Amino acid sequence: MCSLPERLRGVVLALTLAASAASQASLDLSFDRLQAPALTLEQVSVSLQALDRGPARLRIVRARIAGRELSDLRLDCTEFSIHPEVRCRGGVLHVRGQEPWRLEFALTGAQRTLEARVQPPGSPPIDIEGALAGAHPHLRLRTRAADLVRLMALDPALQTAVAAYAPAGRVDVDAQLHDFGAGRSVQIDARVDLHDARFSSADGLRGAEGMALGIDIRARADGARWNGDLSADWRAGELLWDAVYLKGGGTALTSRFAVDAGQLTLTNGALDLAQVGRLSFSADWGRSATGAPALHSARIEGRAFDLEALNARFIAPLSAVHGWPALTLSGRADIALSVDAQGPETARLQLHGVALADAAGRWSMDRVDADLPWQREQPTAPRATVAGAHFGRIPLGPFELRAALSSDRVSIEPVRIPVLDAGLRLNQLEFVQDDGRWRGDLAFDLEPVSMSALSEALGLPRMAGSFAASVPGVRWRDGVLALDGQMLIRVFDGYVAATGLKLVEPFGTTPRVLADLQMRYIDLEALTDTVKFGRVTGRLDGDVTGLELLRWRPVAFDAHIRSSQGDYPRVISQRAVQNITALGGPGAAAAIQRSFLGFFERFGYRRIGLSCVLRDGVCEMDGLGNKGGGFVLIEGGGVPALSVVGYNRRVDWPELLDRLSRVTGSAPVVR
Amino acid sequence: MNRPLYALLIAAAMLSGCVTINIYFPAAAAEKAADRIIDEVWQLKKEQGAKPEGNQP
Amino acid sequence: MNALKRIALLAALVASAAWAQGNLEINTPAISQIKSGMQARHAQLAPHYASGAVGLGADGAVALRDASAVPLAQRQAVQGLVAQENADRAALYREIARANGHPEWEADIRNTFAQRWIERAQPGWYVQSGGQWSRK
Repeated sequence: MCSLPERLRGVVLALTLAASAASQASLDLSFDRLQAPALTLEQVSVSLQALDRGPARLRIVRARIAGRELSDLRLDCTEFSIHPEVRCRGGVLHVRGQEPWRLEFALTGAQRTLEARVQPPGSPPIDIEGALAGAHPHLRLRTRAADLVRLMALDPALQTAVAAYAPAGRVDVDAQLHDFGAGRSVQIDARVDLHDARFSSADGLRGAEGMALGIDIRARADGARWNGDLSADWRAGELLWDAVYLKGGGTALTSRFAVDAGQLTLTNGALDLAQVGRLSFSADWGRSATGAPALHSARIEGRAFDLEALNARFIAPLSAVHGWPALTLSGRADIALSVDAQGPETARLQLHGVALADAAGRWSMDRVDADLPWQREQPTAPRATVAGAHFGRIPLGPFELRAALSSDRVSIEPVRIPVLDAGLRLNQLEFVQDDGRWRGDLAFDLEPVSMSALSEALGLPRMAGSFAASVPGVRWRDGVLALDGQMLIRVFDGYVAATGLKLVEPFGTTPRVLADLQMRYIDLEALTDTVKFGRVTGRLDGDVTGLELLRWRPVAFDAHIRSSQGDYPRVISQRAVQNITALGGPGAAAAIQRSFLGFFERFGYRRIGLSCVLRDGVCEMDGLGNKGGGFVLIEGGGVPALSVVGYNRRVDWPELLDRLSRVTGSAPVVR
Repeated sequence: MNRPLYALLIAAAMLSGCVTINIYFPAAAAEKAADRIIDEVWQLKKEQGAKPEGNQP
Repeated sequence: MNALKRIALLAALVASAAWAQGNLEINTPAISQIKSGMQARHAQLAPHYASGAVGLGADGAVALRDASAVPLAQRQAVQGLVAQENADRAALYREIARANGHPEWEADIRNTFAQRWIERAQPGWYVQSGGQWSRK
């Protein structure tokens, strides 16, 4: 590590004192081998012109310094003296294969007080001072603004390892070495300041710029073992490592460490992340069977992390890179993680008063308190309480989730989640890993929700009646959400049953929905009151087969709507007739007997029937039957009777939706 | 539209036993479709109706 | 038999010619939506094509080929843009195949697009062929 001349045990092979006849004396010394800890010099020869002042040359055929071997060293001093102090001025050190280094030194007195200045080529000088002998030997090494690249070049292995990242920067070093020598414990006290540092991978996805990093190390040797403290303060700069981007400032790391042959232990570690919180850690590395460094164990703990700052600095950028939906987060979290040689062993996330929401406003959860433990070998029971939530515009009441979690299964205990004036009964929610793939199963019932509360929440016109749904089984397999059996929705005094319901890639770019729907006995009065269409009294059945929604918009279906069987009043208001006429476009108006319209508010009808086959953005319409060149939509009956006949068989679907929204004066039910 | 044609083709193939039938990918039409979409996405053509190749170097 | 063969060949030629003359359906709502998303994103991507940070891949996707052309703080955002653009492109190829009733054409459509994007790229943009990037 350092050369300690007081302990040089030289074997003097030949010493020749040759005094020339002239006034000049010259001295040649040669040593076969000089040895000190971490230093071996072989075949050393010194030739002096004079003892007090004059040029001198030192040659070393082979030197081994701290494991590195150099050959053909030559030191030329323009002014060299041995008495009263050993001094070399204007020295130039030549090493084969390297540019010359400038070197000056002076060694004085019984304490061997050393003052030296070394200047590697192209680098600022390194000042070395200290006492090599005495009760408290010490050395201090200082340099400012040294080139990081040249510094790294001193260790070819390190240089190769980091070459792909093209590091650059300047380094200030102030290192002190105390109490070296036999029978003492060496102590190191070093301060390294890295500034204007940067690196970049070839693809630019890993890099740093403008880095300012201060590192303090204090360590004492204990036999072959070193114990000490380390602290690093990342003061400025930015760092990108794949998807993680960090800005320096306020990020500091401290730790105790112990290094032994092939073993590194960190204890009492703390990592302060500006605004986010503090992580405490301990870790233990050793050598694996192959001799490579391997993590034996680690523990990481963080308390009361500020989730808002954590989200802004870590989570949100990560989501953006992966194209995941952005979240807004606030509240506090405790985290704990333990790792052993096989990988993560236990983890625990505790949330305190957390508010979580989709940044696009699709859903939110308020005041979430949760304890989410995980263990590699053992099942755990995570639980969470949620004070309130929103799904779209629907508010959900407080609920508590209890789950069972193991390595290949997550299931949630049955729970009732309040929804408006009713409840959603989650009977089953389970994910199971099979052959490396996750599949899920879901079953729920929605208790009857009053339509008035639902319509109010959705910002729709006030509706009467109730809405209920029963979903006995939904399977999630390979990105497809499929309904087993049928989903029954009770609405408008009748029901809508969905069968063959499939959601393909619901969270992908092009979510697709496939379904067949049967509507039975829908109360038209309740329906038309709701959508402000004009009043129609009666009952309606409908079948929609081959319904396909792409990105939540219908692209294909065969829809047939007709009056239900049975005996019930059948009345249609003038306004509804006008609206239906407007829906049919200009062609439909022709068949209506205008003369009657002015006089009557309400008309009787016998049957209503309409079909629409949607393909390629065009709705191919039909009715109850043909009449003239058109098709009958409403067949009159009673007094006064009124028939509506349509003539436009092909209607542009977007155009139809447009007309519908104009007629109802609000967003249509089916977008 | 080409249904009778294909029926004939299949019948012919079965009879002769040595004609392979491929439904060819309409490469030219696909190129045209691609160009139309590229025009829109890259907003290359302000003037409508010009030939896609017209302003290419 | 010979006469039959001739008819078959003739029919095949006529059939393929008929296919080639036709247009592909690209005016479905899904395609329009994807297209307008890509159009809006193009304004953000264009400077990165010009700087060489993002190039047009041989597989019909875009690729972050040299992130160092972008300031460090913005590289994540560019990664996000590339990911979104590629998700849209994949959806576009799939939708065109599907809209024309031939989901199995997806790979052919992707290849066709890959060639056309590269062919029509502006001078100075980076394009990929045979695994190599070159500047147009």
